[in-house]
Amino acid sequence: MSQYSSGQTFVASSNKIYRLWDVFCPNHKFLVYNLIQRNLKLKYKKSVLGFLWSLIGPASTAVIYYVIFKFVMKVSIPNYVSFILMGILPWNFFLTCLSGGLDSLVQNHNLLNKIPLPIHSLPFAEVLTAFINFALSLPIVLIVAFISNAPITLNYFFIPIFLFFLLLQCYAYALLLGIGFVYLKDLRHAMSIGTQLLFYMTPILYKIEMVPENLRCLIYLNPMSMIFSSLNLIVSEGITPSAFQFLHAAGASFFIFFVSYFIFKKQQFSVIENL
Amino acid sequence: MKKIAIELKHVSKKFTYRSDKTNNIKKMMVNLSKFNFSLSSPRTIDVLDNISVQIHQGDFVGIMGRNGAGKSTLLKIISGIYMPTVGEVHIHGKIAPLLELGAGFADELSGFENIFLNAAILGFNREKVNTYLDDIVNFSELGEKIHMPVRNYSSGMLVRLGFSIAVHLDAPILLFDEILAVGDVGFQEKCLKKIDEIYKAGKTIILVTHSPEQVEKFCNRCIVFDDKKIAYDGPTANGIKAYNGLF
Repeated sequence: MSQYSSGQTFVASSNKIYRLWDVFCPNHKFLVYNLIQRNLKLKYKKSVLGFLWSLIGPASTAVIYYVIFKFVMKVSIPNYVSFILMGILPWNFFLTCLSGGLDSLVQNHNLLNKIPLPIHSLPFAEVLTAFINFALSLPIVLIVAFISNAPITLNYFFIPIFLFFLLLQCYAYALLLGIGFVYLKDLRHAMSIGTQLLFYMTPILYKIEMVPENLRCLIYLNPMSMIFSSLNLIVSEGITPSAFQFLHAAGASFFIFFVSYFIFKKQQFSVIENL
Repeated sequence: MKKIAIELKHVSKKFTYRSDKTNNIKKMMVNLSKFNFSLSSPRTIDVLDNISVQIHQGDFVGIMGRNGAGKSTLLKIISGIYMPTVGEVHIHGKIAPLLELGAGFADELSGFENIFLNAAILGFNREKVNTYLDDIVNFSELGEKIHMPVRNYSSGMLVRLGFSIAVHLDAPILLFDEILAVGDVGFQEKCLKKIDEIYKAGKTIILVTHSPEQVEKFCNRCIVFDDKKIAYDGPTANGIKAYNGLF
């Protein structure tokens, strides 16, 4: 019998992840660029209003929430419109990353079975596409803040930092869901129920101080909660994020990112055969 | 001594075939409650058995064999789509695989846009594509139809475009898996002539085909596959006899 006990491939250029930095497809920039272009073109080629739909959706949700929570539930949070907007827009980005990442491998199974590709480039392109759409809708927050006289402070410079943490987490979730969906076909349902719950466990419609002490631990367990609460408070009240918020957001994001890196690195070889 | 482009050492490939797959959460929960932590009851199926082959730079190898013998799996392992279960694969040089018509194409985009997408998927960068863009468009003979969405292409048009992209993008190793069968006779001849051209320019080519005429005319080496193993590996004349001997 052969003395080679396990299969190996030695190639000059590789499509697999070996080091952490490989997760960002540094050697496949043109590929990622083209995948993003494909995604954007697919989304906007046939629709009349095109890009505007990305704004109308969250804007209308924000209006509905504003009316219900401010006038019916009588929540008293200053500059509530800005507060909600800066919660809904990143939340929609998160949802798009999850659903895009979930489908990214299975939907492209034809491609993956016929052409040697870095598998992670597909969820990566989905996340970046979602981020581009999200970033293009952000000026609305500035406009709304300006119109409603919400404080526009230097703390706005913290926003990109927290968005970076959010991006890391969303990429991690996209990778995990992408692989998970290959093996578990009803992950989509679990995901949709899970995100509904998670929405209320995140300080998007409320401030953390409003949550009773004994339930607050649930909020802190949510790895995204500090990102959202920092973003909300910067935009509605001009508050500088606290060290705790910063460390919680950074720590949770990097931890989840590393976990997804390790899992994906291990699974990347057997995923294609199970598609 | 010619350099080696592709080397396989004792490569075997098994697929794990899952019956009674635990592919949803409900089944997973049921299994867990019975303390059964496995994902399914696996059965393995052998697809390749102890393949060792050396392909040198500049070889033009014709691979023939019955359907299901393992030729496509071999090409996929060489391209890096699958990993071998056992054994080693050494590749020296970039590979442009053409294993299926329009595999990398996005239906909604035009042929022209798909040139960039497909080239990027195959691993080429922007400069390469821009250098050869005109050649690719002209060779495909699609004319104005290159700006039509790929969704509306016939399979002949798909193979023209796909082949044109793969063959112009200057990879040292090319793999073709039975894709020439679809084009019309004129285009087939044109493709084979082009393949012959790049072979003479020093590229390494592997062509999976069911046509002994093609192998006889163009290849310098022939591998015949029979039932997961290599039955014959050598000059084309005897290779064709070996292939015919399979039936």
